[in-house]
Amino acid sequence: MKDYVISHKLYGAWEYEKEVEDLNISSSNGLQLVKGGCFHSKFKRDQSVRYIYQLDYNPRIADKTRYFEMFEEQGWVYINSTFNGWHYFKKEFSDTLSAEDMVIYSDRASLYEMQNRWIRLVTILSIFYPFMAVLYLFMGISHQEMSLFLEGIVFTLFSITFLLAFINVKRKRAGKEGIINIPLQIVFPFILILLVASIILIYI
Amino acid sequence: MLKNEPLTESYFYILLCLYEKANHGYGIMQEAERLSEGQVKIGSGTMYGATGNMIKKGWIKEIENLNPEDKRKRLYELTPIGKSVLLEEIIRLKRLVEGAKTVMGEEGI
Repeated sequence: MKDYVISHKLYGAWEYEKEVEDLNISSSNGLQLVKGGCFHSKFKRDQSVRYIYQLDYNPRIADKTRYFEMFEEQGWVYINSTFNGWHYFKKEFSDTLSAEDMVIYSDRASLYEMQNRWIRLVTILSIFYPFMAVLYLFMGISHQEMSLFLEGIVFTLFSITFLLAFINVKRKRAGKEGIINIPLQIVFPFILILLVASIILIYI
Repeated sequence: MLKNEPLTESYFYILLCLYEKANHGYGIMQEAERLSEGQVKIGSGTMYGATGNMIKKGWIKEIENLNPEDKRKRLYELTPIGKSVLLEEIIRLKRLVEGAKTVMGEEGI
């Protein structure tokens, strides 16, 4: 059996809580995160420990030593950061940990402050993608160009995913039930296939 | 001018815990937990954000830890602005409680 396992599970920013949940489950199954990433994560097989995880989003940390010190003080072990500003932390699981010991944001104001940093981007993209989708679908049809049309579908898929994510975040904050959400893991393979197809179409 | 926004519990306790002496992040966290009888346990992310924001606003400032036995280099200290923010908040809270007393009586609350 291999010691290391690579996972290609994808998560949107709005799915970060699901990622934490999945990491916690993996850890209790003996797969310990070594390096977290946007496109692939590395796990090590180790049944002897169990960790709980937390993800923080902060692409512009003003004072890195101060930042990491704050986490170390409360028993959080820094794992790594992604290129786009997500930071992975872990803490050894124990029955004595209280619910507050397991989270890095202890009040709503600060949790929203962190989420607002990525919500801005999601908001911009959920306006940008529909615009591009209409543009490409229109060009694809008017120029009778299949590759442009396929790219239009890619933008449409992104539009739907991001719009749903945006609506869900807003609904959650208003205390309402979320509506249907398409996991990025499911959308992404379709997008890849469509992109590859459109590139092939350009060259034949 | 708009009145000052009420402080969050975390902000209030951070300022309060620095009232008597400078302290480091972990010390503030423990003190806040003690003073709130276990109700407020400030998480790392919350603490980093709150202290960062308050340094920017000039309510607190970082000072060097001169105690050689303590490895932590950073201490936070309340500034005169921070002190007045804290005192204003206490006056605001007192007014809320006084208002409640007027309506419900001493025993009501």
